[in-house]
Amino acid sequence: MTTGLLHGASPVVGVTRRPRSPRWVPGLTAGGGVLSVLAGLFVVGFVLAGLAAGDVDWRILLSTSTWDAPNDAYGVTAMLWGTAVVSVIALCLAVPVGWAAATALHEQLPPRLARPLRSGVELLAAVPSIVYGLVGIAVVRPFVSTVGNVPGGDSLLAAGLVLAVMVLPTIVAVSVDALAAVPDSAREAAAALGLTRREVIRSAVLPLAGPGMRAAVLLGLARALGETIAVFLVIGRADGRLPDPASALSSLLSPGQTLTTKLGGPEPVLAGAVGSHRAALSAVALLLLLCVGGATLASSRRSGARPARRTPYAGRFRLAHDRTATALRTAAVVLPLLLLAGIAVLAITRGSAALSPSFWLEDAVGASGGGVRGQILGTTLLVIAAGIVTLPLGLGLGLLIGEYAGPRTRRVLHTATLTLGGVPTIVLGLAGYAFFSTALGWGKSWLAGALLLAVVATPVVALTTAARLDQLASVHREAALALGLTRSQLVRAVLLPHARPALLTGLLLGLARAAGETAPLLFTATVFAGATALPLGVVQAPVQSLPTHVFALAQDAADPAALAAAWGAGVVLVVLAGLLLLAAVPARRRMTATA
Amino acid sequence: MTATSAATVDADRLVVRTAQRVLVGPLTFHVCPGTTVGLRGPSGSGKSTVLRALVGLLPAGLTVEGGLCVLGRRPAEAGRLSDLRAQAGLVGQSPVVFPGSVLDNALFGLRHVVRAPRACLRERAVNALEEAGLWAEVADRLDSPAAQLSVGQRQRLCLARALALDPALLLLDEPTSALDAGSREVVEASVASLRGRRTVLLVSHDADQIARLCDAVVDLAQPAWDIAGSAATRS
Amino acid sequence: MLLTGIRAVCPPRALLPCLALLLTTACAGGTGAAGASSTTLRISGSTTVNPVAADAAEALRGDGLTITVDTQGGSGGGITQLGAGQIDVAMSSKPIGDKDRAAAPDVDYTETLIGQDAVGVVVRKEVIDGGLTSVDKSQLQALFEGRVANWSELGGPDLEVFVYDKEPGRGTREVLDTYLYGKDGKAPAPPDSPRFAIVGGNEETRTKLLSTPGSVAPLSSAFLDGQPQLGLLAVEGVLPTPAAIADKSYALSRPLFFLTDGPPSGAAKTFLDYVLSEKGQQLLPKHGYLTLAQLSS
Repeated sequence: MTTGLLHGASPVVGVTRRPRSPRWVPGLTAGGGVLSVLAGLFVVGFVLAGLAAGDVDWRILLSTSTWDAPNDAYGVTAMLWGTAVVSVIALCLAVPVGWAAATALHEQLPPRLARPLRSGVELLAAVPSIVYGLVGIAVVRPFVSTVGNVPGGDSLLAAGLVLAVMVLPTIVAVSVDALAAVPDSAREAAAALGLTRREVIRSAVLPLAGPGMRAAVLLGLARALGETIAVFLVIGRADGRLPDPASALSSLLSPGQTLTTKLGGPEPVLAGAVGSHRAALSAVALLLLLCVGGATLASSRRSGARPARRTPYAGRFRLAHDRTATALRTAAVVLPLLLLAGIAVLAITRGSAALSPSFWLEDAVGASGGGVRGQILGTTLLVIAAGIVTLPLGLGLGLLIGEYAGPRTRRVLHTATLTLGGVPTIVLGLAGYAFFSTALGWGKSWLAGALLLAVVATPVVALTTAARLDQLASVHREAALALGLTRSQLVRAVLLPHARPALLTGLLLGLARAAGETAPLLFTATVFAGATALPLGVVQAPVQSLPTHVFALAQDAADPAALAAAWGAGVVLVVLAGLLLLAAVPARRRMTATA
Repeated sequence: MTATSAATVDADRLVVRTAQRVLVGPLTFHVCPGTTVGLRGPSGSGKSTVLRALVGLLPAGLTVEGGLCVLGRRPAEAGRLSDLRAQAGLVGQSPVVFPGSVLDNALFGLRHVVRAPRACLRERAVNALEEAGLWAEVADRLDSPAAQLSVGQRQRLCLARALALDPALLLLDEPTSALDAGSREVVEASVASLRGRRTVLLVSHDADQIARLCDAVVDLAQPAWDIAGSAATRS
Repeated sequence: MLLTGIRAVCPPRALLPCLALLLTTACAGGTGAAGASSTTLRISGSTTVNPVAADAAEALRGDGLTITVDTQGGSGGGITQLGAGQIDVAMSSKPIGDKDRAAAPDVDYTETLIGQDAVGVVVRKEVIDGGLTSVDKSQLQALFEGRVANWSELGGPDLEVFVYDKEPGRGTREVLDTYLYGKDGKAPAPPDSPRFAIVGGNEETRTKLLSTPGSVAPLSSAFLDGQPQLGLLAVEGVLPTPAAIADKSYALSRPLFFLTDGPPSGAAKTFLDYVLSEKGQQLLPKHGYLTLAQLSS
């Protein structure tokens, strides 16, 4: 080694001799961020443009219950009531069960048992909402009809019950995550003092997991508020039903309307582009966005851990209490599993058509004959195209949140992404209808559907990727930077390989969710019959898809052939979504292995 | 202080602080080319922070005040910090290996910083492994995963990774404190072998180690910073 | 702002692979897809007309014509979509109204009559068995305004009434409203009654009737075939028999239309010619409607 080298005269690693930084990295990141912001603006813009297209009398809108478009009377209190009631019913049922099940899953059952059970709950979360709609028609309507003595069974209660089943997996999954984040040392310290398991959970674990478990409830609420399709099929869609306080309870057993089911009906198509009807519907959409956005934002707000509210003192029956609590929690785990098993049995017995290969390989004939080959191809096309758009968008946004943004921007972006992910898909569908189908003149187009599904999947990808980047130990970033890598090189050489399993998992989870979506496609992308399986153009190029097929057939549930075809197509849809989830398993395993 | 100082590192009343309080300094010292200087102090005294300030790797919220010149440049003004960092290799407390083989890791910095034919880069990586005293142990397993190496081997691999860039300054941040006694000895031997051939700034809480390895000492616990400064310059 | 928003969501870079992928899958799948919209005939609207259109489309599909059939929003939805240029042929179970024409002044709505149907006042069999066989206009008004709680009020059995009304825009509902409130009259707001719900297409209406004791709904009489649990009430003493529908003595009889923008041409003409042909007309009785020949005889 010569002294020349020692004096820092080693050939300066200059700009000319340096390999080029991957230029696509900043481009992708900026692009992902900008496009996602625009996707948000697209939704807001649709609502604002609608509000500007006619007059809205907010005072009347928010104080009257009569909605009568032919007479230009627009009041939403009945819909707000309906939305509130079904959400409250859903949460009242799902929260106690969900919390207890989560506690049992994480604190009580041996991991050998808990792991498959948890997968079962996650599977329940991946069941497309249209399948829950079928369950509603097949089981919940008759149940409410018999038990509540309600003719037909269409009622707020039926909608609430369906929603309870739908939000339960969300609450369990997020609560388990919150419990998993409590360090074992807290449990150990409490147990070492001689506390029973119930006391450990109550005094040491729950106070720490509390904020996360409350966030789970709010996320469940956001899902309940935004759900359209399953509710649409069992609520009766009757306008103007705002009961007086005396009959509030009995009104649960009669039909009603929610904000989402109003938007899911035919009125957005009938209202046209201008006029007070369109403006009033946009006001409904705005209220819906505010409700869902509020719940999502509240769930992401950091709230501190609270100590147990009432300091429990040892009672005489502490051991008996411990046993009771354990038994109750175990029972709570059984409930979601029974639901899963019940849905599986229903699907297999009613949808036995799907067991025959010809059902997969033949085109549909007439209203309910033949198979669903065209629908399978259409859904596959939508999902693949959505995946191609989602991958760069989600990665870019994830990098922006996980790496590039400063702490404050990062928080804002994270919340915004969470909110975008929570936008009710019916609003996405209507915004897509107004923009792609009408303004751009695409009519029904598979690409419009795929882009809307990409908006559904992108937040999932971005948030999983960002969360994974968070886990990367800072020493890795520092070691790479200390070797003189530029930021783009750091992203390319360290962050991307680290984030790859999360990216893949997020993509598959997001697409599994998108594959089951009905509401964004109804107005924008699909027709019931006659579309070519794989269209070549973009404009006026509709496809058929599984969820919208099931939705159309489900309305003809009195015809046994139609119902059988609906269940068959529903089973095919669940299988496809399940395959996407299954494909994510190896990537997830890798992720937990290297975490 | 002038930017054209002949010293590799020239700190003049260097202060690292948050918005609220001073973490380190004021501190004045020089590191002259070809010397090994020790930076000593109890844990929590900000030794690692000083090293990171030299190459602009301070955590968000920390700022540098006073004069600081590294390799003839002020880190605060260096157009591209990545160029400065490529010439001032930093090796951290516990070994950080990237996913990939031993050779991948030795090439990790080179590949990104130097544009040259692959064979040429490989030769430099091999030389670096030799200089870090690791070559004999890994020559037959260059393509096996780096994560399979022992902790002492991994730390020397990190050293080699930095040496491969032929740095004009080597910053070692407690390179042996996370290691077991056996590994500590081999890593220390590697560092000792660099003495006189490389310019090294070694951070350690271990006074004996510094005495064994270094030509001069800067003691952060020493209130009289000017003494420490002259000590470093004396060599 | 809205415009740029969406353009940007689908950058050319993302579009290209989409298209490439489509090309390859289309080729690999071997589906001879017809590309441009010129050879694709888009039909949407009434669920009443839908069975006829679907069968006709099925029959013509062999001849290289691609026909998509959808029922989003019923007759009103079809008319709106035709007005917006999103479809080529609208199916309608009601005549085009002045309000429809006013909403899309540039569109030359052209009606092609293909047959005749009747809106039946459909009830559960037990209502008829209980002694109620006919209703008059004022009784119908009372029923659909939610003012009748029990069938015994109308002379029927002691059974609670449950009303299913069609959602706005459905041809069935407009025919009923026109009968009850006159051509320019407006139906009152939906009643605040717990025994009242909204339904959409004919299939959904039938489903709900079948699952609800004591229910009543306006429904195309053709959808009663093979449903022993359901029955028709006579309106002003007249049942919707083919003869009564043909001579319009049944008050709620209605024409079935295909609507086009201007006189039908191209694929639309091929399609309509088929429906009007002898073969195509046979599809109407198959689904319970009257043919044009039956009307004029």
